[in-house]
Amino acid sequence: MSILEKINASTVCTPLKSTEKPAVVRELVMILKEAGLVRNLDAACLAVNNREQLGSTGLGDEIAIPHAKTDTVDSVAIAVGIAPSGINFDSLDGKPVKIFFLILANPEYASAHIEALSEIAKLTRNKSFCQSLIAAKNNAELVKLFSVEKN
Amino acid sequence: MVESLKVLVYLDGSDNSYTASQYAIYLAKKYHMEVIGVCVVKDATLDELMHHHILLPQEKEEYLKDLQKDAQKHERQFQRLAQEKNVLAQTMVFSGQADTKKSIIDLITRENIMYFIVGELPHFRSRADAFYSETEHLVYTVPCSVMIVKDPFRVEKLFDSV
Repeated sequence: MSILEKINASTVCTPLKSTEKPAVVRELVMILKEAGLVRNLDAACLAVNNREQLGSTGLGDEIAIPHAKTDTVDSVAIAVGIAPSGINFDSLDGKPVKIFFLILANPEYASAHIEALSEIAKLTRNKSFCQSLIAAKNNAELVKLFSVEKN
Repeated sequence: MVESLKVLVYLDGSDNSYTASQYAIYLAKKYHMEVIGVCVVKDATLDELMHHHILLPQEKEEYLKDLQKDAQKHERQFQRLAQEKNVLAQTMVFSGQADTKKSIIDLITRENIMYFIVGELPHFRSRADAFYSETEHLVYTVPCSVMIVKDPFRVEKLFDSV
C-alpha cells in the first residue's frame, strides 16, 4: 500500500504548535495516538527519541523523517506535521525543519517500513510539492495536496 | 515424457503479492503446473536510504536482518498456501549486493519458466518512480510471458474452488 493512502485528515497537522525537538516528537506521536493508531504514547515517544539519539533524522532542506520500530502500532503508521516557522531539529544542514514525516512501524513490518521511508524520500525530492506543503493553510488543504499527488 | 509447465511468482509480502500467490497456486493445481515463489531482499533500497542519510549505517545492518526475516516469512506464507491445496512449491530468496533482477531473469531462463506472475503494480507518480520499481522493471525485462494478477475477490474464489 502506498503511504499516500495512509495520510488523511486525522494523521496530519498544520501548523504544529511545538517549538522544540522533544515537544515536536511528542506532538507528532500524539497525532497518531488520537487517530487510534498508537497504543502507548510514552513508549512510542521513547522509541523515536532513542533513534534520534543515534543521529538526527533532520535530513536538511527543511525536512525530517523521524522514525522508529515499536510494537505500540499494529503495522506502519505515518503522521505529517508542518511547522511553517521551522523548528530546530539538529538537522544535517543546521537549518530549522518545516516538514515532518513521522513513521512508526511494528518490528514485524520491516519491508513496509523501508518502503515507506523510500517513498517519502522520493516524494520529498519534489521541491515544489514541499513548498506547497509548507504553504498549506489548514489540514484539509494538506490532505488535498497528498490526494492530488496520489492521483 | 512431457515436461510440466512452470510458473514463477514474485513475493514481497504485499496484499497484491498474496493475490498473485493465490492465482499461481490455483494455476498450478488446476493445470498441473510447477510453481516457484521468489522473494527479493531489497538491499539496494537500504543503500539508497543510507546514502540520503535517512538510515544510519548501524540501522542498515539491523534492517537488513529484518528484511531477511521478512523474506523468510513471505516464503513460509507461500508454502502454507501451497500446502493448503496440496501443491508442491519451491521458494527462493535472492539477497546480497548481486543484481537480483539478473538473478531472476537467469532463473526464468534456466528453469524454462512459462509465466512470471506478479500482483497488481503500484501507482507511480512519475516514470522515474517506475524506473526504480523492481517489479515494474522485471515486468518489462523478463524473457517470458507475464501475468499481472488483479481482482483479489475473484482470485480468492478461484483459489477456493480448487
